Amino acid sequence: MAKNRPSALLLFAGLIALAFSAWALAGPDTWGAVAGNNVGWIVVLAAIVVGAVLVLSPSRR
Amino acid sequence: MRARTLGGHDYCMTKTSFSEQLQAMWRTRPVRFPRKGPVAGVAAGIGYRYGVDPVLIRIAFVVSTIFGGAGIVLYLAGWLLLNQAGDPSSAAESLFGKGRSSESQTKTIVLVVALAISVSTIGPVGMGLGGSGLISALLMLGGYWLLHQRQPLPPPLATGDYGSAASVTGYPGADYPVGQYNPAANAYSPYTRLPDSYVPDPPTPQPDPTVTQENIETHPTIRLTKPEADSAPSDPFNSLSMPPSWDPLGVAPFAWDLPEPAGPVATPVRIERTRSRLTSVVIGLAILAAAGTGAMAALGADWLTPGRIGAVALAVVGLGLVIGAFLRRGYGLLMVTGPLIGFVVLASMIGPIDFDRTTMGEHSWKPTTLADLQADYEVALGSGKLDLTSLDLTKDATVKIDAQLGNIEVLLPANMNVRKQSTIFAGETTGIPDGLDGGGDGTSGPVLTLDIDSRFASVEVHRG
Repeated sequence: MAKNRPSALLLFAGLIALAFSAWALAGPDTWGAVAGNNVGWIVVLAAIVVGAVLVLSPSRR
Repeated sequence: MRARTLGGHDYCMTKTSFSEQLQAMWRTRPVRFPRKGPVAGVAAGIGYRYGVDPVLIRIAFVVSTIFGGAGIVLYLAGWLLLNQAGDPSSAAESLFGKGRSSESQTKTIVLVVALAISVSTIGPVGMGLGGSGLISALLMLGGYWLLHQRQPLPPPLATGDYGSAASVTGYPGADYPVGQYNPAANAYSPYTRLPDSYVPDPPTPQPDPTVTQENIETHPTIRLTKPEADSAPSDPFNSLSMPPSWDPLGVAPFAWDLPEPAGPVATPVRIERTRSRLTSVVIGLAILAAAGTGAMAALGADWLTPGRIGAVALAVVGLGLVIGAFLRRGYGLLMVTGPLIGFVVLASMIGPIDFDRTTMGEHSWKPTTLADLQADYEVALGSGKLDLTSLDLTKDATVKIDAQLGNIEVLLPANMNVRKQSTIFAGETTGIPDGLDGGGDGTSGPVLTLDIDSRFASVEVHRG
């Protein structure tokens, strides 16, 4: 079964690459205002995503 | 194991010259195990050859890469010069038509180019980064020499890693009896046990159809006759025979010259690494996407900066990585992802460099009246000097100073009122601090506003 699970390393690297791509496509200057006002919300969103992944990920066995 | 300890003992007893040691180091050089290492198996091969944990070798390579870059040079050299396990010659030798290697010629040429680039960054005399490249290279080579002193004779390779039939050990040029068969085992010694009873030899067997010439070649150490009994080494007591692994209690010394059981030996397990085309397809798609957006940018889409073109390619690579994560292939994309992310981040931060405009090279501006004063001074990949000492400031004005990958020096008269505002990314502004500065005579009168944007650049504002 473990063979069929997605590779966490590749998935993580792919998501990082997509995030950087989106950041650069939108233009680095546009993020200053967003990040300045909503740092707290960004952290909250990241925490929700990480927590959800840990909760919902299938068990190893 | 036995041959190594005995041989190592002999080796230490005899004094050898340094050049002989170097020759021995070259003859018994490690082989690469590409299937046991993440890149080319150089560290795995060195670790196995000298009995060290390959992780330590990898750490040494990484550390010496960071401190001076010698590690990457030595790793590439090892990739080129060490044989892959099972190959009769190395990649560099096969490139010059000597022997055969598993590496393709294209890959070898790429490796040679990469080696040349990495050597040139260290410098022709190794003086890059204050000579640390040379020092770390010498430390690495010294460590290699010490490893050789510690274990001069190589351990036997697994059967699957044997090179040609001519080489018993699989190591190039190092033929020595090891493991399965030792001619000295036939010699008479205090440990020789005579058989309890003598029986006449059975009649000479008819040639066995299964023992073909091919079989003999694949097992070069099997001697069906016993000519070695007469030509035993002159000092048989020095190389006392030890029981082979199939006879751990040593109850059958008369059969120790028999080969190891052929069962596991005959079937070397070779796990074929599945070659996936996902990596090359995704990289090709990314290059095509970058070429397409680059063409659009050349046709006049100003929005498409180099950073965004890279971001399009990065998006393709990222999608390929996500797809590859579910198919569990495409690990080669990881090699591309890091540098591409670095390029996209840097290109986005710096912003597009306009090569058309005359922003590169040396510049000098000296406006004297407000009419001469431009609204915008820009330098990319160069240096500029804005001399405002003879400017007659009659009313408030704003000057935008934009510096990318260069430096701008702003000279102000002693009494001009200046409000300085800086936006810095990975650069610096020196001289008078941000904010309103009145100079020698207070802040009354017209104010010149300097709006400075510095990306990887330095802007110095001072009163001349």
